[in-house]
Amino acid sequence: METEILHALIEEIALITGCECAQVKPDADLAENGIHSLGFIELLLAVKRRWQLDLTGGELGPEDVASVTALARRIEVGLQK
Amino acid sequence: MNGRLYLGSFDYAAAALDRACILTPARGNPFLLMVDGNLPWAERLAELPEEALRLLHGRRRRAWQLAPYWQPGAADPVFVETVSAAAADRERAIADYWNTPLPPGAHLACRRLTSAEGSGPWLFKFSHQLFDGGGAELFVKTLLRNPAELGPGNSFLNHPELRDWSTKFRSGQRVNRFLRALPPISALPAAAPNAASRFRRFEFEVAPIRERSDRLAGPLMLGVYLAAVAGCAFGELSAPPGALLLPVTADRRQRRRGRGHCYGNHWSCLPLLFERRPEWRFADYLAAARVGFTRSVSEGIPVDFENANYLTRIAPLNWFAAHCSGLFHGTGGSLMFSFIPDSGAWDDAISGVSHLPAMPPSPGLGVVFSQFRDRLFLVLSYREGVLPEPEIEHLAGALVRRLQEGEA
Repeated sequence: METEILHALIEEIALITGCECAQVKPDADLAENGIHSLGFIELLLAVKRRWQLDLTGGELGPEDVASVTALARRIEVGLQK
Repeated sequence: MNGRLYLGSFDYAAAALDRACILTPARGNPFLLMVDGNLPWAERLAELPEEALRLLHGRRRRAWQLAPYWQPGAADPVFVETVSAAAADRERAIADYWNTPLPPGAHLACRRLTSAEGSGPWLFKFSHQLFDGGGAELFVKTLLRNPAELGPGNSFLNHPELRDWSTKFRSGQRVNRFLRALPPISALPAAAPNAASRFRRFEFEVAPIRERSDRLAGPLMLGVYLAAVAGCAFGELSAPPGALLLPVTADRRQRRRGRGHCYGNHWSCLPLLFERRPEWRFADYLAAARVGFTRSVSEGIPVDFENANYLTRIAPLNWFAAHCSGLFHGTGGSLMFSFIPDSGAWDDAISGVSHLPAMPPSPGLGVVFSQFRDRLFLVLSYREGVLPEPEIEHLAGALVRRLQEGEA
């Protein structure tokens, strides 16, 4: 499940930043992957659209965006609740 | 094409902004990109390929049946000069250059400031008619790395998506519906068109500000946090009554595949609206900014502003400007806001990049942040006369205090 979420996240990040999926680094933090305020909001809205999981209200901590993998893990935990 | 649909779809605010920029004394409302570095920039500029020179000296064309496009002009030399200015006079030298019109037909000029104490920054002056801040950065980076890429293949305004008229008209209609639904805005009286541009520059270490932003606004929300800082500082002014509207500039250059290398002006806007209540503290502005950003992106408003903006580039501006001058005052906003977070991605030889944008007569006031690695630059940019100097001092003090100390 986490792998599926990770792949979907990588696709969304590539779409937002205009790069190829292969260029997205799963273990790098989101800022290093070119995601800043506006892009991050777009990403959270994509998460809400795709998994009906609303993370736009400030639920995330710095550890959740330390890498794309960490965000995928956080989404999985959110879906299990 | 239905005539009402056509006229109703233009982004009047963008059209009037465009016109206001042309009418400023420095023509095209040029902005500076200031670069500290010891690379042989002059040689690089002198070696620009012929195609790049022709692009830089062309002009924007409009036609009803075509997307706006860029017509290359004669390959005149790029304007590069070195000027001596004592370190103590550097800010004045920057301001003088900033307020000097670009040579006729030119959209880029460059000046290096030197002094007995050593070399100062390189000042790249761009016309806002052709470049936005992100495009200017991209352009200079390409100039540094591989000037041969500055050929016609990497165009300014001739992307095929610009011919998707149905999308653009629909976006224009949504923008106009949005503008018409705005509550009364606290807008400063427009500055005289010939008023000089002035600025105050500040520099901060970014780490403590980001730490505070992460804690109060959430991770990766530095732009939202800074917008709240600007809104809160403006809210303390004795500005006219009404809601605060911050036209937040949005760079959507990389949001679609294949568009990552467009140097031209991709101006888009995320309108951020704050109620203005006397009891509001910073936390209220921050919460409102977060909700405002999310709602705006969710409703696709920055996308619509980007699309509608292209429509205004084919408008017959003389007639159009007269038609929309009344509308513009209210929709120009209270304070322009911009945050450019990507300046850190420069070559190692460069030691600092910051932006110095001029404000058009309306709103005549802007707060611009740019981040270069561990430094955050703040520029308070304004037209002379838009606010009394004590109010400018108060605004600058409020911004600096909030950034240095956080919430009291």
